[in-house]
This record gives sequence, structure tokens and C-alpha cells, in this order.
Amino acid sequence: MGKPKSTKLRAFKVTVNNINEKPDQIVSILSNKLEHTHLQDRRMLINENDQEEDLICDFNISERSVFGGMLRIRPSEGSVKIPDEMFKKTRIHISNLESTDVESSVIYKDHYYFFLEGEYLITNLKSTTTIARLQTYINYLIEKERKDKFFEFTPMVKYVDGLKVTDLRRIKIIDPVSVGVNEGGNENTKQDTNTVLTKRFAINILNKVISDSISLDEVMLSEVISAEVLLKFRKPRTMSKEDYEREMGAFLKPISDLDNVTFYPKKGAPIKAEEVQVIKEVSIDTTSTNMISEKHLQQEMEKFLSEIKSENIE
Amino acid sequence: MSKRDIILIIIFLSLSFIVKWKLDDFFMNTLYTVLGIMFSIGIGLVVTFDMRGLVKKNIIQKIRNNLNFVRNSYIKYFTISTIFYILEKYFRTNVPINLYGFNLSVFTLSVIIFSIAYCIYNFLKIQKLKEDIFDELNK
Repeated sequence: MGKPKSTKLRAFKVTVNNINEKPDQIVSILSNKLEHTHLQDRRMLINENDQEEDLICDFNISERSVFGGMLRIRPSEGSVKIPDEMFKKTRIHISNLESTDVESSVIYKDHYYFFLEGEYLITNLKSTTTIARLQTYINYLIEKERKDKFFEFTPMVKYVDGLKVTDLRRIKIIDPVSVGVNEGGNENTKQDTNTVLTKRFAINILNKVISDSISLDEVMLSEVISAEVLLKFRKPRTMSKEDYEREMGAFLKPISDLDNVTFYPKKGAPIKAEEVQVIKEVSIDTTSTNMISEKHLQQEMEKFLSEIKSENIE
Repeated sequence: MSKRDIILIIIFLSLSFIVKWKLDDFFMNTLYTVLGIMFSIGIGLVVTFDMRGLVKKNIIQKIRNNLNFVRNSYIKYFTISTIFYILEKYFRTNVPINLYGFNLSVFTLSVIIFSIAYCIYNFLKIQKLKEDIFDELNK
């Protein structure tokens, strides 16, 4: 038994673009597809230039849920090789992917897991990757079966006190490099004496009145792309909880770097975007070869989902 | 003419109507000489600024544009200071300096002092930029 591995579980709501259809159909459609296809049929080419592909390599279907392992592969040398005959099977365990001398056209790149139940999705996809990756793959896989329906995964958010979307003063999205450059040029500590403050004030006045020359900090800062974006939401002041979650979830969905997003409500302290998302950090048992226990992960995902339902986060 | 220039004109004009100093010839000559020296140092630093070692085109362009702007400002303020210095000398010897309460000497003094401060502060900043670039390239 290896050392437990820590992983973050992210929660998403499944929605469908058709008002007559229920989003939980995705479970039955996906289960059916997985049971009747081989690995080869489930490969999705992401880009023709580098030939990377996604596929669901392993799955566990129950009455109301699907637990799956998503694999990213590419045709290159080195690292773990996947024997070509494995693609004729229905599934392959990630723990079976070992470095071999077998001649192979593809190699393993990375993997993650997901758990679909009803209209909820839990995944340990890293937070720097948006859910668009899994959403695109699943919609691609069940393209024929879903017909004109399109399933979307939207991040679930916590209702944070003071963070009503209509009460937001501004949302700041900023590159961390520019923060470093700024901090280097403008240190402001509590220990500053009056003399230092006066000197700094005088220098600021001089800079504004008679300075036209650029400094190196300003040159480097101008190289960094950062933006402060003020977003206005169209909902009226009396926004319902559901509307708030939909708006906030939709805003957070395409952002892969939540560390650099901060919400500034009209009252109260700024709130970081990662505090708003429904995320849980769990510790998963590992094998002696440092592979995580998939069963344990699945159970943690189920537990997380039942916590979400019982806490009525939605 | 920039916003700063307009504000400065208003301030200098106000001063020239309020301050009633009588400034002697020697004082004005000395100040103008100092301005000439600072201008020479400043413009020399700008035109001899070496950007060898910098490879990013947009950084080179940014610095070059800024240096050109500062060079043009040096020439502008030196020219204005010279014009007013000559005018002040002319009016001092040929016509009474106080024109409807307007003190041309004080106005000229303000322009020259501002130009001296501008030259000094900006050439110090350019010198610092030069040193910072050198340090950055030799990290």
C-alpha cells in the first residue's frame, strides 16, 4: 500500500439545450454507448497536427451512474506504450498501462476520472483545465444517440454571502506576473516613516509633473498582458438563487486559472473565484506502484455528490 | 501642447502677476547658462543611448519612442526658455518690464527653472534606465 494521494474533486451540473429533455438522460445514453463499443471506437482525435486523442478507457456502470477513466494518448516515443491489440477490447485499466518494449503506435499521456449520476458530474480533472475537454469528448462520443441535444457541464457554485452577482462592484482578472512587477516597484509597508512617505509623495508628484522618461519596470509591465474587466449582468436586483448560480457558473466555466480571478462585492472583503466553486479535496489510497485506488476514488465521488445533494447547494 | 504645458502656463502666468520681484541681469544670465549645461548633458545622454543587447523589437521600439519624446521635449523647453530669455533681455533694456502688472522676468524665471528641473530629472531617469538594462542583460 502506497502513500495516500490528495486530489481535488470538482462538481458540475449537467444541462441540456432542449427544454423538453431531461439532462439525466446522459447517463443512460453514455452507458449504452460504452457497453456496445470497443476502445478503438471511442477514440477522439483532438488535433491533426499533434495527433493527440481522448478516450474513455475504463468504466463502471451501475443503475443510475457511470464512473469512467478518461485517457489522453498521442503517437510518440518514450513513456508508457499501449499495445495496439488492447484497442480491440471494451475497456482497459489504467493500472495495466506499463512501460513495455511492445511496438506500439500510441503512448499514454495523462488521465483523469469522472462520475456521472443523474444531472451531476464529479471529476478530478485538474483545475487548470476547463471542463470543455470532457464536455467535448462526451458529446462527440454520443453524437448519434443524442441527436440534436447538446449536454453542457457548468461549474457548481456556492452561494457566498455578499456575493450576489448584481451586487458585484467589479471582477478583477489579472496575470500574476504583472502583480509581481507592480509589487516590486511600489512597496508599502506599515513600518514606513513619515519621512519616507513624504519622500515617496514628493517623488510621485515629480513623476507626474516633470517626468517623461520611461523606467525599465514600466517597459516590462507593458509587456505583460493583464486586464481588469468590469462585467455587467443583465438580471435585475432581485436575482434568484438559481439565476445567481447559473450566471456565476457560466462565468467561471471557461476560466482555467481561477487563482487570478477576484470578485469585489459592494460590501465586504474581496472573494477569490476558487472559494466560490464547489470543490472538495480528498485523500485516495494508492497501490504499491503509486496508482490510485479507483474504487476508493469512485466512492469518494459518490460521497461528495451525496453531500452536495444533502447540503442543498443547488 | 499637452495638458501639463497648459497647467504650467496658467501657474507661471499667475506667478508673474502676483510676484513682484526685481531680478537682476547676472541672476538671469547664470540661470540660463545652467540651463544650457543641463540641456547639453540631457540631450547628449538621449542621443547616445545604446540599446545593444536588447533583442525584443517591441521593447526597443518602446524605449526608442520614449527617448525621442524626451529629446523633443528637451528641445521644446530649451527653445521656449531661450525665446523668453531674449525677450526678457530686450524688454529689460528697451521697454519697462511690468506690462499691465505682468512681470516678464518672473515668467521667464519660472520657465527656465522648470526647464532646468525637467532636464535634470529626466536625464537622471534615463541614466537609471541605462543601468537597469545593463543589469538585466547581465543577470
